[in-house]
Amino acid sequence: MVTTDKPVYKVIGTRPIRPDGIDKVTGRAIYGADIRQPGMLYGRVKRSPHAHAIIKRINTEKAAALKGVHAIVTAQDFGADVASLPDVSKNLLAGDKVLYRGHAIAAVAATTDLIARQACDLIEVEYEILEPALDVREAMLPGAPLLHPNQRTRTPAGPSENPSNTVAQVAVAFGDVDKGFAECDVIVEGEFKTRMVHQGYIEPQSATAMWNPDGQITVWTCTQGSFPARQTLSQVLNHPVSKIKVVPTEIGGGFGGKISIYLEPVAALLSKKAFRPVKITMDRADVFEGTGPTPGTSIKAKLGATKDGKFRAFYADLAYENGAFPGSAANYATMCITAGYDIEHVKLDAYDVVVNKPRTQDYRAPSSPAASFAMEQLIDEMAQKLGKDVEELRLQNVCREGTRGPMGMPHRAPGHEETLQAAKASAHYNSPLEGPNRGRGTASGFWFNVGLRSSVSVSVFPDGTVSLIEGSTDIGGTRASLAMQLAETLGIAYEDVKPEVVDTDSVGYNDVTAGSRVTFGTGMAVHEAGKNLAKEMAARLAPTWSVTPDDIEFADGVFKTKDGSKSGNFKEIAQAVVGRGPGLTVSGSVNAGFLQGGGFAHAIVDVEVDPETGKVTILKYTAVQDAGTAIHPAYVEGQMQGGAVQGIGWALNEEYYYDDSGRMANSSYLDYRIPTTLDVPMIGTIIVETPNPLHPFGVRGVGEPGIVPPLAAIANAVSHATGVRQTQLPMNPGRILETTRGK
Amino acid sequence: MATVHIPALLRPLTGGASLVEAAGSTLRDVIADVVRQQPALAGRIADAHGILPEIMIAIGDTEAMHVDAPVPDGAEVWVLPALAGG
Amino acid sequence: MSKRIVSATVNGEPMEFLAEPYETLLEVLRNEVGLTGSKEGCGNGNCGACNVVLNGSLVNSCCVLGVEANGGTIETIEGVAQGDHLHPLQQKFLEEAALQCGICTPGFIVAAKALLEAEPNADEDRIRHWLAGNLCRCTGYDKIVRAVLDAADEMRQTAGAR
Repeated sequence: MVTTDKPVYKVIGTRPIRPDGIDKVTGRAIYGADIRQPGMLYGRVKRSPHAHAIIKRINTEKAAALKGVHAIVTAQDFGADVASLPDVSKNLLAGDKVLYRGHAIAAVAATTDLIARQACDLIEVEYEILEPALDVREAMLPGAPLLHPNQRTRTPAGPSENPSNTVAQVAVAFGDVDKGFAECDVIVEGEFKTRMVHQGYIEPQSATAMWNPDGQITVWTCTQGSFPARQTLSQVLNHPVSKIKVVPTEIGGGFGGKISIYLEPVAALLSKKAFRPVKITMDRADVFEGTGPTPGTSIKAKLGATKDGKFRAFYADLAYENGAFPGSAANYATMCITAGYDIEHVKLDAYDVVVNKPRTQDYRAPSSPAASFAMEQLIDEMAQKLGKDVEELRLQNVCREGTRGPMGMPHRAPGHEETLQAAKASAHYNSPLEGPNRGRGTASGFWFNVGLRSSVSVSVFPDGTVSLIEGSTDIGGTRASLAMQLAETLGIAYEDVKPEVVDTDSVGYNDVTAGSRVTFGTGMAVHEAGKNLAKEMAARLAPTWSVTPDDIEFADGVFKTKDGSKSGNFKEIAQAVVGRGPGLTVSGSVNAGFLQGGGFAHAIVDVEVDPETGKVTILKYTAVQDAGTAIHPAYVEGQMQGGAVQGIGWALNEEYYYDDSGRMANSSYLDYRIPTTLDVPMIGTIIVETPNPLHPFGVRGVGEPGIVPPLAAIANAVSHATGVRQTQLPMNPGRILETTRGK
Repeated sequence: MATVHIPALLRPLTGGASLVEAAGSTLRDVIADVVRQQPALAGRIADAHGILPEIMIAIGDTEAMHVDAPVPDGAEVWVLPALAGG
Repeated sequence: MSKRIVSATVNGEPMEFLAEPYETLLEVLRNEVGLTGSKEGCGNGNCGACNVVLNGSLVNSCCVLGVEANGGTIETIEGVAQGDHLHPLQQKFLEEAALQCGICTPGFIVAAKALLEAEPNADEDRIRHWLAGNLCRCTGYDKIVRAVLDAADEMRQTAGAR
């Protein structure tokens, strides 16, 4: 449904307190590491100190002899020939090679954490150390150290003749880019590099597993997806899904980094051997070195326009490092880099490359921030060359309904134009910026939102309130936004809905909490369940009113007969039909698929650059984003502000600082310094609402786009403040001084 | 006949071809015809259980949720990689 | 036996518990005393998720040994609310959506409480300085700082009304 007038909602758009809030402000909420089980043992993972090596031998004898050690596992315990283990298993426990420093090799379960650590130190591993491949462009060259000796490149012309660290070469072309550039009056180009960064969630991964003698496995874990975790456990352990129960705890941040699992199968194997529950918790260094940071990139890009400002051609060569195992990060980049604009001729050559670093994972809008870092700086450069206001230049070229989208399919209600208009009209954009060494920068960004599968059930309590049982782990307040959507659907008060996130045995299948999909997709399941509940209640009500169910209508929270002679509100009717009768539970399940549009975000940022120290201070930041319909405005603002500050850290300071041996030299929060309260000002927010035609309440997922614009917006601001364009991240003081000295 | 768009990631299997004209009134039939013309695509778009989890398919601008979806004559069928996010 | 007996007052209650000499106060609070509200985010004093007040001073409990608390007083997040009365900081955090995943929230509340008790007139600048030792990755700090400012306001008004 597309609405031109904004509907008047009763609950949607308000700011109620979240139901899990009180436990979180009092310290009662149970996160992964807070789980205790009777007889629990402590597990610890032994990790490779080398970035690239062949494992010649693992000797666990001395470790096993240590008093207090109950079990030790290696890849052999997966029950298959280690050479034939799939990549997922090889990342959980290394097969015949270690491919990054931090790669898990073995694990121990013991009566105390200290004994487990001591036992890990007693496990003897004989390595044949190999040269590591650490730079994405260098790893692509013939002669680079090979991570997977049999891997060839998938190219448009077929597999490469020789093995290579380049997993795939993806070619995208629309129109004729040579012809396009020939028609251009102005061409800008640049080479942009970003470093590997981590999602930085404050809670390290923790999983507790119990493998019962009857074959039932229970795993408590802080994960973004309890059902996908169950699936991976089943595949890796070769154990039926129906005999695995994943219980999601509260989760202390994910941002994409807790979609994949690392500890759960290892803890389960240890529990199987020890006949006791086993808990493994990562420490901060493990999190940096042994989970899934996001790729560093190298992008060469070129944008051409005619002198009136119309973009005619765009070319990019994009190389993304995927860490130690193959991935599709560069492929994803081809789907967002031109998403915001109408450009007839486009050619993209994208390379996904493996390097001796941890296997990369999503970080909010995966691949999009680095793509925007390149594109939005070229646009800024173009605006300067043409002497045009950069927002006007964007608007001149903005994608609209029907514009060819980045995957070839036409855009539907993209919302970029509305977002740009809001930015251009904002108080921030129209306020003067005065003073030396100061500059203002802007940038846009895009990410998809998916729908995928969600299932919820709703039960009626005797007092007429309802429970909402769902399986989407709550990382940002979705329990509240889903309860709000159910309340709106049923015409009841938010306080009359009690939401709960449950385990994989207790609710139907729910895909991962990611891709900005929960408020959107699980919201659709909630809406479905609400409608089913109303129908079921009407069926029970009908005989008591001496009518047939078809004679009853339900709207605005009221059941009434078509002739209006009888009516009752939801709560009254619920009390009546449940009362002393049988319980009433319904479910709502949807498969909302992948194609659910996306959302645009925009950033306006003012900076001041200290010419003596190179330090960049963020003076003012305004995040603009299209939320479709903001269910809970404070949570939408929170997602925008969170994404903005992550982007600020990514732009100015964060990086995996590697030495030549492939060791991350800064794997602690001291030296991998994420923004603190002192590094950022208040983050202004402007929520744009162009309803998503694909959702009953017009919702667009909001969790991800906010992280996309800050990298380029800050780079553009620094460029205007110093006269020097920053093409490498992070723009830390050292780099600023290096590039601006003498200019 | 439908025009089937092959995603960049699968073009190595079609010798670089990005479009395949295929016959069929349901998605199942259209995919079968695509595979008939480009045998290397067998099992890369759908299998016995339906559309592969890493693939999403749109007929026109609407996502096809299962292989029995009807394909009108002259339709554009988009085979795309399924991507989600973080 | 290598474990030591520690006697301390925890959230106003005199207690005795055991601690290995090498265990941190954070580990002892979580594993022995069973108070899991204080969290480990980094283990080396950089994130503040483990903040407690020990003998009147705000500390990173991951950098204090459990045995050091012997004879002392410890205040954790679990002691901030008085019965069913939330502290203004807790109330404002809830009302103003100053938490998303909530893992850093106990540390922030304990730290902010220590600040406002010592400096009831702390302004935004002072609040940001004081809380720079508490890392949050979800919120971008905006709503946290606003919640602390508003709690300070309310606390000053309540004190003034007495």
